[in-house]
Amino acid sequence: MIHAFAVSVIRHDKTLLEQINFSLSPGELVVTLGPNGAGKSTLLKTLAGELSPSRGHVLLDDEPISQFSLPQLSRRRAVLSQSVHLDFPFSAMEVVLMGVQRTVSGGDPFRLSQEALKEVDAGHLAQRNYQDLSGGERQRVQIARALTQLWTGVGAGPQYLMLDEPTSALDLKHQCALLKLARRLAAKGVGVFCVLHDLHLAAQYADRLVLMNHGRIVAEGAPETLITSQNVREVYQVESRIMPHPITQRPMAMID
Amino acid sequence: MQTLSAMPHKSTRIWLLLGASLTAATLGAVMLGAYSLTWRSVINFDLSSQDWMILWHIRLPRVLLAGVVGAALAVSGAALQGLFRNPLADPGLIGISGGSALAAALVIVLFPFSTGWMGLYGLSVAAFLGGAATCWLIFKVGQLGAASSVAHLILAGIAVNAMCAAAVGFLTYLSTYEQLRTLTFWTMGSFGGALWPSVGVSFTITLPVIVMLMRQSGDLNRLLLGEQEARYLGTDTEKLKTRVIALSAVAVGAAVAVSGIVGFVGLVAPHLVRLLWKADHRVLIPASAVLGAALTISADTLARTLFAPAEMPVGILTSLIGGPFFLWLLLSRKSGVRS
Repeated sequence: MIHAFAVSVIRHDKTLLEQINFSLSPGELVVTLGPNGAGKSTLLKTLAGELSPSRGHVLLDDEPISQFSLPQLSRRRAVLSQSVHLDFPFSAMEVVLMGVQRTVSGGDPFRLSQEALKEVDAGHLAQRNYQDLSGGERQRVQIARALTQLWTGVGAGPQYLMLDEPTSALDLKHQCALLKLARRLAAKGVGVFCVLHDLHLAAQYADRLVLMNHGRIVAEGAPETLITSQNVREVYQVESRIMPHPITQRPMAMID
Repeated sequence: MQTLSAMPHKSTRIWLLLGASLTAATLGAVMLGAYSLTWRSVINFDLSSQDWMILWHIRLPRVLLAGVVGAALAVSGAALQGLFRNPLADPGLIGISGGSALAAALVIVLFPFSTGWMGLYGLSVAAFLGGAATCWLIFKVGQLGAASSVAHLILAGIAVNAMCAAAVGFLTYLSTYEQLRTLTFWTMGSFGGALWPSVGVSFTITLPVIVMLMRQSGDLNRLLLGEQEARYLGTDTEKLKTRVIALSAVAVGAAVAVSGIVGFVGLVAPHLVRLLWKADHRVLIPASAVLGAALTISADTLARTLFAPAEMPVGILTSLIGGPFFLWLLLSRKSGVRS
């Protein structure tokens, strides 16, 4: 369990996060929504242990996350950042292999990396130069790297996957595939924290939604209770009507 | 970490190629010169006593020194390019060359009475200390920013290099004609003073450094994704940066101390390896070492033979080839240089 207690992050006199209380359990898929600059990425980095809060604290399994060493932490959680630049000619496979943990568990790292690539429909890209790949292909390779990190680091405790706008460059097919993958990982006990901009995708796949604005959590809960025209208006200043999905009954926001 | 080689056949072929080029460069360097030896006599050890004298006291130490200096420069170049995530980084960039040159110039101008053996060693130690001190200073300045960013380090390197160059320039004004000659020769780089002791010293420093840098390969790979990403993957980036800078400073300091400033090897060798083969540091570092050695030995052979019996400083030759190469890198889009 990752817990944030009364976390505030202040950088250069600007309050990025204010009084955040949040928890992420193994096995659940939590999607965070909110306008640009709402503090979603800051919350993700704070939960990952990369940013230390100015006030409050973050606990991993009831211990301060700052007490964990970087290699300990890297076996517990994998992070996919919004944008990753690589200026050197590595093959996609070599990029995925960077995720391999120092003390490998879970099987042969080379085979696990190949499986990770196949998992994101990128098995055929293994030997291609990463720099020559399209934006969406690169994003899938980076997701495979995060998967490899999790799979070669098993055994140290429940694991978490933190994805910062992982679908930003993906086509519709791969967006759905990614969220289904997140669901499968959650079913296997991984706690998934995902920042998205697509209300529809979020409502269809998430166990729990978190709505952020101005560094605060505005609302939190099941998609049915959170996706309301009032919330959408308050946070995005967009008028909408909410309809249930004909099959799943999950709420869909129709923009006016 | 386990060794992971995707295509063993390709690796074998390229290692053979690299090995062959180093062997060819070494044999050529041993045979050619103002006094030539035939390859038959070299390979069969069928040498007259005069041949043997030349081989043992002049050619061999010089070739070995050129090789080990080339390897040291290429390996530190490879590691620093990874550290700065910039394929244009060169040992000169983080100020080792500037600091070494300044320290050497100080010794030449301020202690003109130190000549002969003592002078040579004094100069060498000064160059080494100067390079290491500058490097340390740049690293400290680079850390002043909140979380020592790579841009900070590079900018600090540029500033300190400029100051060192200005100080060396000032010293050339103060120096006598004789000192000026020594100074010039030093800043141009040469293996003319190769003796067995310097060969021994640079080997015992360079080889362990190469091995230690190779052990950082996996972490250097991750650093290319960015410092934050590397930390997410479990790499202690602060420790890694300190290690790579210190190891590179030691290697380049030792190289500059015995040969002066031989430029561009640290830029060209790793880049050729990336172009021909791959950027994975597990391969890049050892392959750069071999290629750097072969290139530097060949350059030195050319420097000795082009205008024989006169000899040109090898640093001029490497810059003559390396300069255009650098410009080509800047102009070419494939080099991966960020705009």
